[in-house]
Amino acid sequence: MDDLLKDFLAESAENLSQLDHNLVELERDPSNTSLLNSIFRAIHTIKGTCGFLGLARLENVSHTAESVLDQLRSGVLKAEPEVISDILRAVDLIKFILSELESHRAEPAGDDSLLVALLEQWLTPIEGQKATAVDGTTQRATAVDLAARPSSSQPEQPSPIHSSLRVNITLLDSLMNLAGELVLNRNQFLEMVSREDDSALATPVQQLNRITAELQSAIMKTRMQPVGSAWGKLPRIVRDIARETGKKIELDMKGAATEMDRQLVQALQDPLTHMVRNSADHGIESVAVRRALGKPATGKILLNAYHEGGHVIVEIRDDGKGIDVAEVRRIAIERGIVSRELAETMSDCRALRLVFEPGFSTAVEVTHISGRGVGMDVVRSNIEHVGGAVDIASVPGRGCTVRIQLPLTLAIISSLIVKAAGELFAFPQASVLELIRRGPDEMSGIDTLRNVRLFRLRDDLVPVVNLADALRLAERGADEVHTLVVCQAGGARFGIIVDEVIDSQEIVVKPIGRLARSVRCYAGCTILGDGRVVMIIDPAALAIRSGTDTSTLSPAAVETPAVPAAKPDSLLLFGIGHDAVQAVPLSLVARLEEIPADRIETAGGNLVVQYRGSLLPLVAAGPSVTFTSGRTNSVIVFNDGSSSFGIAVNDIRDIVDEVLNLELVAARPGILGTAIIAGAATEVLDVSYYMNRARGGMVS
Amino acid sequence: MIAMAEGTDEVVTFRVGKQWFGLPVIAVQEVISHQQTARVPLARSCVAGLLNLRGQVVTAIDMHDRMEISANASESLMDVVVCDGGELFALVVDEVGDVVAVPPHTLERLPASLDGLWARICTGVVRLDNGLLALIDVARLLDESSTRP
Repeated sequence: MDDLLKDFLAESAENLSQLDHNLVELERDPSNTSLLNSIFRAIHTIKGTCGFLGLARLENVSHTAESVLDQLRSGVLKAEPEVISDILRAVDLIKFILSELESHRAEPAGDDSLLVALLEQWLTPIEGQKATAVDGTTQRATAVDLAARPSSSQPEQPSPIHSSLRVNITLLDSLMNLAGELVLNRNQFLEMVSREDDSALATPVQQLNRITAELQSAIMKTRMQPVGSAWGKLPRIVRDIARETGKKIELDMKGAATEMDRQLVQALQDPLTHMVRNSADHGIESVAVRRALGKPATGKILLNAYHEGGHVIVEIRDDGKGIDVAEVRRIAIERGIVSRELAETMSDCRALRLVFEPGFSTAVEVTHISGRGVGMDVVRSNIEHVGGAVDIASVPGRGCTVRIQLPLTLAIISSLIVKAAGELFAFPQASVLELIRRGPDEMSGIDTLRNVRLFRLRDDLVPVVNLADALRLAERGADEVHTLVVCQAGGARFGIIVDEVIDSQEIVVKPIGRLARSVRCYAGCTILGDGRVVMIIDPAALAIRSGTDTSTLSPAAVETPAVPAAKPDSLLLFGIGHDAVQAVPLSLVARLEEIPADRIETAGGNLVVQYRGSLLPLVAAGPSVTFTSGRTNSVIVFNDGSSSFGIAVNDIRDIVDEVLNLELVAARPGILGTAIIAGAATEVLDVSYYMNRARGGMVS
Repeated sequence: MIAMAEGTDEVVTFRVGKQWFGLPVIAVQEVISHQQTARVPLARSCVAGLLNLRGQVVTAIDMHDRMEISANASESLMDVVVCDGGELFALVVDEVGDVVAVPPHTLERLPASLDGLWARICTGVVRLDNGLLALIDVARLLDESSTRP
């Protein structure tokens, strides 16, 4: 309501500033209908909005003034000085009420019947009544007094109206573009200065660097919009679903003021609507079911938006029935999304994510509320399209949480610059999982299945494509020495072979022209520091285009086919202090890092470390893991599709190939069980437990 | 080109292969010597690449390909930068000539037998001392639907 009032005040101030001038002008030129129309519109807008805001006094005055103006418009009345003065009086009163509203957030008390009566005289063009208008002079005096009363005790106070300004979106966009160009220009300067050891330009360029960065961030802020503007429609949607289904649902929204780029707010709108619908329609149970389960009759949906490590997180959480993982597995197998073997061996977390696969929908019955053909796959592709990620967690019977992670802005991204067939290309860093450098004799890792090339990445088979081939560049990319860029997009992992990785840098995304846009594999282009134009690859589109998209392959061919029962696993052994050793399957590990203990910080009671430009949550693998200042800890980094986290251990011991046979089932959380590994009984780590802890327990 | 008939009578001339073309001077932003372009793999064949014009990304159009005129090897290329629909394009041509005044009465209609592509792009013909000048409509030249994949 406060926001509405603020908008209304700002808008009215704009309208009113012209009104005095226009009315005086009209007096001089009574036949000017366009002027009259614009005056009418201004008053009409004020009337319309204040009715909506419940401002009775203002509505009454503006309504009467509007009626008089309407008579003027229809030609019943002539725009004579008398009429104009009375309208001006009404305008003065409107201004007075508005200024009171601004300082006290409420209409001032007062009686406007005199002024209203004065105006109403003009509305009845009967001879007898006109006569009374003449002796309205005394009334006028009173009305004027009222209107001219000083508005507030501190007129010098800066008002909210004048501290904000409406700016055209295109102007903001062009400012953003200009800032982007300035960044490129600065990059050129920085590169020039870096080539000379002792340049006179070094200091001014350093200044330029700082100012550019500040300017850019300031301009970026002008484009920020509260995320709440994307969920204005949701209460109504939830209410309608609740009425239609006879459920009781409460929608709680937190963090509506969290700001992000307006383009992202727009991109968020549809997925958010879809997921809230899903929660209300499929998640929350009927009142009877909830009662029977001992839950409160009213179901809750919580929307929560907040900033986290350079990202905006939006969570949709409900306390409904949750998602039945077994059911998800069954449907995924039935629809051919995964093979039976894979579905049965994957963790619950991963299985749950199958709902994002194209062709998946858990709704048993398609109701007219939710089953509109927009599935969770569309939600995911919409979010990924703007560089975000989405994840889901659920506790059966307790509810479901969907977590959307979005970048703050789209215009500037960190990227990896690579070379293929002599040309440079940029990859958005967000979709790159890892880089693997291969020498001439390491090609054995790549096998061919029909015409699909697959790379054995630890225990997974990942389809690969040579970038130069995929883009049909004349010169064939070198297969001998190359780098494999492992990307994740659309839920699938795949590798792209490039000749070499040149650099990693922040780039300004520029749109590509319409004639080049018909090719779907680019996310845009950018200009590098040396002035070169470089295309930005959209890995998801490239995967689909070149057929490495896993959904086009038979699932069994993509994932390790028919896992033999006693296949040895590669196990990573690590020490957790007091000579205790634990193991984790290497296939789950994304990377190993050595991190100085001094770089490990505490945030909100949790351990974090700054890692690749964002914060990596850490969990210690047990209480005996020690962090000694001046020494390094080994961190096992896990990547779970959308997010990473690390498990801090004392040291990495070994990697062994062993058939993993859990002999003792876990006695405590965090441990799957105990197995004989390398001849010794070793505890096997439960990665999903740590993942939940690292995330602070998404479903509590 | 209605504007032409109403008296926009100056055209920038340029040569592609042996043919001279004209563009209304008002459509041309500038003429620069040919710039290094970044290739756009898989784009339509007439897209010669993207180039950086003072921080703006400009789509370069290979006029040989666009007008289906076979390319000669050793030409000194020039870029005619035009603006259409708020977007910049650089027409890569062999040579840029003078700005020629074209009084409306000298403008002749296209011959009915002209092939489909040219008939769609050109608006008229002007007879000059050294041959025919085909006038081009920028919007139609850059219309995606008439380009080859």
